[in-house]
Amino acid sequence: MLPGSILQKLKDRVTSMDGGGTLNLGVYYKNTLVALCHALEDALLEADYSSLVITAFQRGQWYLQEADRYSDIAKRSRHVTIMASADSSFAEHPTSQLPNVSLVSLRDNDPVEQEWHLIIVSPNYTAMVLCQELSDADYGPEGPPAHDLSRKFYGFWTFEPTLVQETARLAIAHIEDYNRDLAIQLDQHFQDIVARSQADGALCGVPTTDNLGNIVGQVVSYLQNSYQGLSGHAEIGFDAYPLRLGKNLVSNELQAFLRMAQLIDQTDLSNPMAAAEVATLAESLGQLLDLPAWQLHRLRLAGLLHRIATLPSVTSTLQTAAVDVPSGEVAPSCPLLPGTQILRKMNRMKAIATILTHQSEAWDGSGTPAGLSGDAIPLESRILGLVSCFQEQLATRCSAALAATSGQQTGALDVATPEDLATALAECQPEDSLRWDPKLLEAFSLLVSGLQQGLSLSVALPRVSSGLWLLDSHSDEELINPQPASTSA
Amino acid sequence: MDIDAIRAGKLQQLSGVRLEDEELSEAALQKANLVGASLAGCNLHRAQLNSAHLEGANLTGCNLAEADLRANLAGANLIQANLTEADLRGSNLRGANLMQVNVSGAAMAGAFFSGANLANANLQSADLRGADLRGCNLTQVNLQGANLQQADLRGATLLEANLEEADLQGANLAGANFSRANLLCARLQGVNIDGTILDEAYLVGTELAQV
Repeated sequence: MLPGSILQKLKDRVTSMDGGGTLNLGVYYKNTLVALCHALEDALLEADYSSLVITAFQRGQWYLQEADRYSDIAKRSRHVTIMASADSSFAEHPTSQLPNVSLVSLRDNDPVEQEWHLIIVSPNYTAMVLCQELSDADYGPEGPPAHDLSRKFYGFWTFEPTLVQETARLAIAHIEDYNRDLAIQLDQHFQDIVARSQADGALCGVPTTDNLGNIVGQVVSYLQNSYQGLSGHAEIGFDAYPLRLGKNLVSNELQAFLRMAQLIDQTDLSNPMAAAEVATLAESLGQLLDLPAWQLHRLRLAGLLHRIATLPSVTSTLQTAAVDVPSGEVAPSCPLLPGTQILRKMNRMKAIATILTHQSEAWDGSGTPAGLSGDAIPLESRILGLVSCFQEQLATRCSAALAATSGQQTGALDVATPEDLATALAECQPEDSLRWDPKLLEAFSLLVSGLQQGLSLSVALPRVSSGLWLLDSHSDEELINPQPASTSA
Repeated sequence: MDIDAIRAGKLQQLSGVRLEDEELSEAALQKANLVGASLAGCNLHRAQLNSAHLEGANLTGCNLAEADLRANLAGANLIQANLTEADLRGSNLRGANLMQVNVSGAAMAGAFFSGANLANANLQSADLRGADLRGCNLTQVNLQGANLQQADLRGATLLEANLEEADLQGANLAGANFSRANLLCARLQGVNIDGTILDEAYLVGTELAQV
């Protein structure tokens, strides 16, 4: 990592924080970064975010390729700052002349010249891509790739407001070396946005289906379009397509969902490890039931993403009173949960979306959304429903102990006493055979008694940048109403 | 040899049998005794081989994709076999020859590989949580994006291995040789690196924190 680069400075800042956080860095091809940045930028055109945008383009020529798009972005933004090493016509483009666009010509030895940034801060939407290109030596014996789109970067992208705001602060400090007046101006915008972000109703830290959810959906669509576009680049060569560039795109589609799930957990201080703990409990229960490996992986991924299903919409978040549903009205068919609909944008999430949709079904048929009963409810949905209910009960029981821990990676399972575990299970037991599958509840009771006797499950935070090990050829299966089986099967 | 009877699981005592290039996909071979059998080139796609005895068996070039291989494969020969998405959880692969196998996306949590030869194998995105890889030859393997949490890699050779974005959290890397390995953005938190050789390894973006 280049000393003095923004990525390095952020890493230093994060590692020195309480609990020694990590940035969870990943590898990105230029091809992926282009699609990712276009998606995150175009979200700015969809709503009036009045954002502050700070970018670093490496070279002026890359900015010039995007300059027309940036003209539209500037129209919807408070201010846009573009850092790049100066190329000949860099400053002459009409976008560069706009009153709320500022250019910073990077000096030759500035490490930021090797970086690719997109930093978006606003009260209702924060996002960032923060990457650094590999040096020629880092490419290893093969050396740098011949094709521009195969150039490799490392870093990360995120929607997390605290990280994005911290990076904006570092970028403004960097700009101060070049243009003090601009830095002062940017800092004023920034302070105002931070104040507004903390106000009630600000959405940047509140995951919702129709704000963040739509943006995540857009990211997935753009990455998919880029995947389809790869076949048009025969010159990249067989080696790169589809193996490397394609995998990187798919990995980032999955990452978009995992990042949304991560944000849901981070904003729920009363249960900050829900996803990781539910995933681990569900997988452990699956192991007890001797499920095949592919099903365990599917269960784990469903556990990591389970809270996306119940993600509220902006309207329901802003309303203080609960929405009344007329009791006599019964939905004519299985209603679509907006959260799981976002997952369906990715074909390989089809099975996961179905599992999450039906996690609130009940064994006796009294559940939602489809009133399925017994074995008609997908097994993973039954497991997830039970396990997430237990985990939620446990987090409620342990709220005092959780509040007392300062570390970011402490969850209910870490602090629960044997009594807490017993009580949380007891809360689930009265609904045996009503809500829960009796066989599952029995097996789960065994797991919980193991935990009471000191069995320790390793709850690792998911590595969002490499989740592909959780996807396999079963990921796009139809779990309910399967297609008629072919005669040869 | 009655192939249909074998596929249906009616024949269990098959030690030393020669069944080369046969069509055995989805065969029910749970608990079968295939010690020293030669199954080279067979199509065993989705075969049920759980609890089977395959010690010293020859599975060269077999298609074992999505097969249930929670079996004893000690000393077996699996050169160039296709093991994509196979279930190898807890399998015994001690001393097996897995050169150039394709194990991408396979589940190998808790499998025992000690002393196995995995040189040039493709283990991309494999689940190797808690696997025992002590003393393995992992020269030039592709472990990109693989999950190696809590794996035991003591004394393993990972020369020029590709571990890009691999998750090695809590792994034991004591005495392992990572010379010229690519550890770009690998997660190496809580690892034991006593005597680990990292000469000329690519450690860009690697999150390294020793226990």
